[in-house]
Amino acid sequence: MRNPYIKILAKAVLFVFAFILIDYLVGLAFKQLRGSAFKKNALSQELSCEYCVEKATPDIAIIGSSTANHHYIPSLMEDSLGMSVYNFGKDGCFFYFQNALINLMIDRYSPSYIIWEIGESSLSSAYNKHDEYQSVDLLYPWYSNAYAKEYIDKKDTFQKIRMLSSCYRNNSDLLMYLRLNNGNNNSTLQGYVPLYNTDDYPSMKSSVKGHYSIDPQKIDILNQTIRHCKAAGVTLVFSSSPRYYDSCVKSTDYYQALTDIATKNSIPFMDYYNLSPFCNDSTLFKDNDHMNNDGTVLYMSVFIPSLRKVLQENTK
Amino acid sequence: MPFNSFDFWIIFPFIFGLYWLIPAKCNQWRKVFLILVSYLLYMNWKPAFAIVLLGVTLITYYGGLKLENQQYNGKKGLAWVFALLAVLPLLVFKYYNFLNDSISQGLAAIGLKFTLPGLNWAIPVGISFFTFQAVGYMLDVYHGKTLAEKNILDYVLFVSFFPQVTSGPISTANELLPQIKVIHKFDYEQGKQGLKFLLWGMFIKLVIADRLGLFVDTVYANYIHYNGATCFVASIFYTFQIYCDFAGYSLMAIGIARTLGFNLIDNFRRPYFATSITDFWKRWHISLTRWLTQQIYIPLGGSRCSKARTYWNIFVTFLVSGIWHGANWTFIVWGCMHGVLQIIEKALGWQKYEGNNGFIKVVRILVTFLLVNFAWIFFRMPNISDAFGMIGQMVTNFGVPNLSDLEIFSKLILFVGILVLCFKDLRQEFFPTKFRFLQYGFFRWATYILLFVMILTLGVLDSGQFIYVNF
Repeated sequence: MRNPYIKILAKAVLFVFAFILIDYLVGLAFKQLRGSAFKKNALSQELSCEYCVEKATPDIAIIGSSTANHHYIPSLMEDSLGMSVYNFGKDGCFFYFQNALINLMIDRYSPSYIIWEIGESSLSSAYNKHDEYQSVDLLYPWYSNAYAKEYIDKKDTFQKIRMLSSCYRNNSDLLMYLRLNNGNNNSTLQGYVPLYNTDDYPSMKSSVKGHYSIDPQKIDILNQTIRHCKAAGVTLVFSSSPRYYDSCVKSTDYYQALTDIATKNSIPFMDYYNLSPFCNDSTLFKDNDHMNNDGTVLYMSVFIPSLRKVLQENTK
Repeated sequence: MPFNSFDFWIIFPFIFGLYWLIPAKCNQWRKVFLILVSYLLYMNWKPAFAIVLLGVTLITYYGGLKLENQQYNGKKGLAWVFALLAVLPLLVFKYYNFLNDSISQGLAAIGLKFTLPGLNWAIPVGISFFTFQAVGYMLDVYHGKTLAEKNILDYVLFVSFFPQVTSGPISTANELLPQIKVIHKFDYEQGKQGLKFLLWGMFIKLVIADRLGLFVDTVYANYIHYNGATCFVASIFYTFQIYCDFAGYSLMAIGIARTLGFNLIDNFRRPYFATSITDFWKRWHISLTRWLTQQIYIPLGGSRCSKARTYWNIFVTFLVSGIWHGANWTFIVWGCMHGVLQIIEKALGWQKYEGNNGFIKVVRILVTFLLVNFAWIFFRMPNISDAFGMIGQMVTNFGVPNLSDLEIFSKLILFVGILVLCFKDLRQEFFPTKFRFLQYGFFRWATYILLFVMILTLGVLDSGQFIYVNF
């Protein structure tokens, strides 16, 4: 092959074909690894999305970000309500992710109730694209699902091209799957991950939350999900758990808008964002946004009775 | 647009293809194409930055022409004027706030209150690099080392050439301008070598540097919560991180340039095998060392003067190096440390080791590595007190390393990655003729595929910048 252009082009094509074959084989290997990890550690923190989308059948599912993950204790709720509960809250996973997860779940299974921790700026434009997509890779295994695909493809212009590669889809997962297959996992309490102690935050007392406005795009998406839930026979409950900010400030415009959406769709909204004594007691918090285990247990003593009333009204 | 971004890898095949599609006899159009691509890629960071790039280009272009025609009288003054004009954007964007804050704090310490308003402008990407390259050209004209470039297109491409504009290597006029003028014919071996450099550069950047960075950032941000041994391990990791990050970028830049037919200077030559700090600077950021030697050290007198003056020249050169790296006292301390260490080496005759004693060589390599590692602490920390705080932890609270923030399989991946890197560098440094079987077809292709798969499965993708882009 004398022509250097043809030579390098031929080698490049050969490389691409070789890579496509290896990529396919790597994809198969990862599928095996993932399946094996899931069999051994379905209830691990790392595979909570897998459990939510592929296996779980709780009566009550809790969805949200880190505030959901650390603020709702399923075992206490089960004891009191007599219904199975699982906490699918995930750190760093915000509105678009949560929305995709809910839709993925109810495509397979319809829990009786979904408690969606949706307060505190979830529906605002406060989160930029980087925040909203920082955990998008957790949903890559379900890229073939329309809801997941819609969310994933919006990451950026070339995301559809990247998703063609199994190696890319499983980026940084090898270590996790190997660890889980080795029996080494981060266990949870039915999804709940307690936090302990209080950080030494000098700013805790003086922090003031900003003013947020609702993002109309998120409202459209929320309304679609509300319709999907209704069609699947799932009762949505909005909730907003306590935070610690000086003067118990919250964005009234934002919360009013959220209340209006809930009222319009007959969705109960359990708003405890600036509930006393929480918003004045830093010992109940790990940091401004996350209660520690003491705070969460105390919160459950307020939340669960209110939830019982909501469930009773709903069954009438 | 950084080289490790997916967007760049979508665009680059088109750049490569279109460039070589332009017939060789239309070399002028090839240059125009490269200039357009260079400016468009540069403007992708921020369009307004291109004004600064163009401004520095034009000032040094006209400066070169004027200096060549200038008679002896007034030539030095004219060189100073053009050099200051060219360096002015760098001084303003990069150093104004630092100088303002330092002077204010200094005056406040003696009870005086005086501040100028701060500037809230983003620093144009790569300004330190392209300014040095352009000013270097102009000073070469002044010293008679090169003729002034008359062709403005050639000169614009020289300053803005996209593989090197953001983070070097810093080329000299005699190195790059002739390559710009010559008609390039596509060379298969050169293209292949370029792609190999690209692949290896991506691997050490995404798999090693960025993985190390996850642990380094955690420890450095909260060093008071870690014992000295953990801080020490983090410092070692940072030493590898910055090498893999910067060398990775340089390799990618050299690789991209090579696929387009250009040969850029090799910027790293296995620096952690240096047997002295002097030797280290002949292996680390070679293009910057060359620039500082030619434009600062030699004009000051170099080593052709008294010992005291030579030591002073070394100190000033590395003070400038520290200042060039960043507007912070930590970089100045880092630069001065390297200067002082080299002065000590020169005074004691320890700059080179040419003996055959393997044990002494290994000891010298280790000692040099530890000294460089120590200096990197200042380079990495945001301020002097944090740097000393971290060193204090190492001295007073050593203990046992706690790598619990680094999960076991990450440790495995990093261990394997660093092992691969060390094997490659060791082989190139000490056993260049060994392990030739790795060059054979099957092993070569297996290596390429394996590296590519490792980049996609283990690399920290979409991680953002290279460290040296900040300079």
